[in-house]
Amino acid sequence: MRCAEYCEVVANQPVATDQFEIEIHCPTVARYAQPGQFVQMRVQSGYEPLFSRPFSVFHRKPDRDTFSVVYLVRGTFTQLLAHKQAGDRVFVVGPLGNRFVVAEPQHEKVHVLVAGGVGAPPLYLLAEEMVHHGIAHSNVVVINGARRQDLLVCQGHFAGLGVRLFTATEDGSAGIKGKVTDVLESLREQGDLAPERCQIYACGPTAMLEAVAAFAQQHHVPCQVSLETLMPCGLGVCLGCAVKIRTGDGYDYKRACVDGPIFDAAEVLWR
Amino acid sequence: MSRVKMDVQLGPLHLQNPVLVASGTFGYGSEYADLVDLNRLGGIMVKGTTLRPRAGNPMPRMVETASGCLNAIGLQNVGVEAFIREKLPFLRQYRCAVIVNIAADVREEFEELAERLDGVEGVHALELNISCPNQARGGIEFGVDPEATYDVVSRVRRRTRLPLIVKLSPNVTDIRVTARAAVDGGADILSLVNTFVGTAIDARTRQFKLANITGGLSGPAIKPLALYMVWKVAQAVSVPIIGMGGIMNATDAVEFMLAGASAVAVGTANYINPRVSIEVLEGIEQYLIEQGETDVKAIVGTVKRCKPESEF
Ligand SMILES: Cc1cc2nc3c(=O)[nH]c(=O)nc-3n(C[C@H](O)[C@H](O)[C@H](O)COP(=O)(O)OP(=O)(O)OC[C@H]3O[C@@H](n4cnc5c(N)ncnc54)[C@H](O)[C@@H]3O)c2cc1C
Ligand SMILES: Cc1cc2nc3c(=O)[nH]c(=O)nc-3n(C[C@H](O)[C@H](O)[C@H](O)COP(=O)(O)O)c2cc1C
Ligand code: FES
Repeated sequence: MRCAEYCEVVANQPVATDQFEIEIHCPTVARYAQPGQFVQMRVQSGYEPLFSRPFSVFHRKPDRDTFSVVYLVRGTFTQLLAHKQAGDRVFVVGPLGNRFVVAEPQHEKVHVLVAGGVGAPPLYLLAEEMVHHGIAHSNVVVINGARRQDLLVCQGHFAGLGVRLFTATEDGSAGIKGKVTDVLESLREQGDLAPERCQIYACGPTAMLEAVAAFAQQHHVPCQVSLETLMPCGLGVCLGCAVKIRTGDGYDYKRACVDGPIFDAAEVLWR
Repeated sequence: MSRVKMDVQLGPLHLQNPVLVASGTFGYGSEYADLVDLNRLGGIMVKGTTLRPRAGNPMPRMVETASGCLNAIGLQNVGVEAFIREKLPFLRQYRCAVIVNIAADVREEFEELAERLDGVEGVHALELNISCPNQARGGIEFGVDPEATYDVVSRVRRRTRLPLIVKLSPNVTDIRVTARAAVDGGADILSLVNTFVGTAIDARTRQFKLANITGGLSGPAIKPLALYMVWKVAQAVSVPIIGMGGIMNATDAVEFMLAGASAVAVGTANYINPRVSIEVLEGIEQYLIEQGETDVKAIVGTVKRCKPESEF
């Protein structure tokens, strides 16, 4: 089930530096969104910007018919969105795209969720689902990374779930000083990443995804990545979101919006 | 709901209403079927289809510009055989006309495509795309050369009994010249415009924003240019016109009809609001009622000059 309709903003609050959480009344997304899926959003603003923007579903509250998104104020659209108040309307199309697939047997696996910056929200939804499905807290490992402490996203939410949470910041202002791949490396050295027992799920900037994918490949750990591209339509028709996915001897252009955004990292051709 | 007559006859092609969706902006219909009642559309112009599947251009392929976008998709498509096998059966379930947009680098391929699609159940018309500005192989845009236009159109004409729409390029000095060449070659209907060639540069990185360097400009930015071209062509030829270029709402669509288009196609707007084509259709009906018209055909080409100041 998907919808394309104007929806009312229930709340729109700053949660960290240049970060907001917006809660939107939208029964369809509230009911059907799966971890990793996204919505396309637009506000009435003439034709600047022209296209809708994609945002991962962070939280959903079916009992209130709402969902929320955490967004970083980056450019034209997100600045407009930051000015929306309860009662204003935004145009929502969704839920769109595929979801993270929880590796089976889910209760025996160690699930490693690697988040970079605003890549964290869909992984929070995934971690929440895992906990809800009764996967042991100790088997859900979250590595949350950002450049600085104030750019970490969903940190409090992850902590609240009681999962194993590791933090990495490039300047050392929170957690270890370094990158998410440094945490992966130390977990591996401790023997926590046995390939046959482990599955990585990653969402964040492309450079981070590429590094995580390289790590996963080197150590034979299966890995799903959520790719970020420009998404003019989000519906699979414009072909402006193409990503190179390996086929037998070459590659195919797949659409990040409908064939993804989540792909097996081993199939992605990064350049 | 209709109290006004909305069906239109474009030469040999009958449409239940004049609102189509433009090629490359609505996929093969199935992508939108849960959000839009396809039975209400006048027609679907499917993604540009070539003889063999095409991978398309390297990324980045699309970039937003002021009130518009540039695209250089490079005709990524499944090819005509997969279209017939995998895409067409779905579309056959619906009432709307299915118009296959065909593209090729060489004339013989256009002929083969036309022949292949002739008589295929569920195909209601061909739209000859001689105006794609993103031909990967450094190919010429047939549509900028009147002689090449005449030649390609007349070759295709001989290979098909289907209604033949020729999609004109706006990247010409005088679009009436290629319009006449297409009609002389046997076009039943003209559609215009395709995208305008343009480019975008990132000042910070000092690089072009598109891997292909150039792309085709579409969206509200091109509407005044497209409207002018439709009006000009309507004066020059007697075949019906499908107008497009930056239509975002019903008022835009009505303007194209007043300028001389018998039908309209909604393009880039489909990306932004998947239901826009239905809103355009309902808006045109509303407009006709407000204007006291009972038949949509009555407004085609009825634009008048505004009174110059001195005549007040
Ligand atoms: C599937 C998917 C899910 C997403 N989920 C979220 C989410 O949950 N929260 C969130 O905050 N964002 C998310 N994004 C990214 C979000 O779509 C962009 O931040 C948004 O489009 C920016 O729009 P804007 O108009 O504010 O910025 P623009 O005006 O478009 O851009 C401003 C500046 O930021 C740069 N920029 C824009 N987008 C990105 C990007 N993605 N990465 C790096 N630089 C960029 C531009 O190059 C430009 O310099 C997601 C993207 C995808 C594809
Ligand atoms: C991403 C994209 C892909 C397109 N692909 C095709 C195509 O395959 N064949 C074609 O004839 N026109 C194609 N077009 C052009 C549109 O059909 C239309 O002529 C043009 O975009 C102008 O209308 P608009 O401003 O309403 O979008 C494409 C346009 C866009 C934006
Ligand atoms: S965003 Fe248009 S096809 Fe993916």
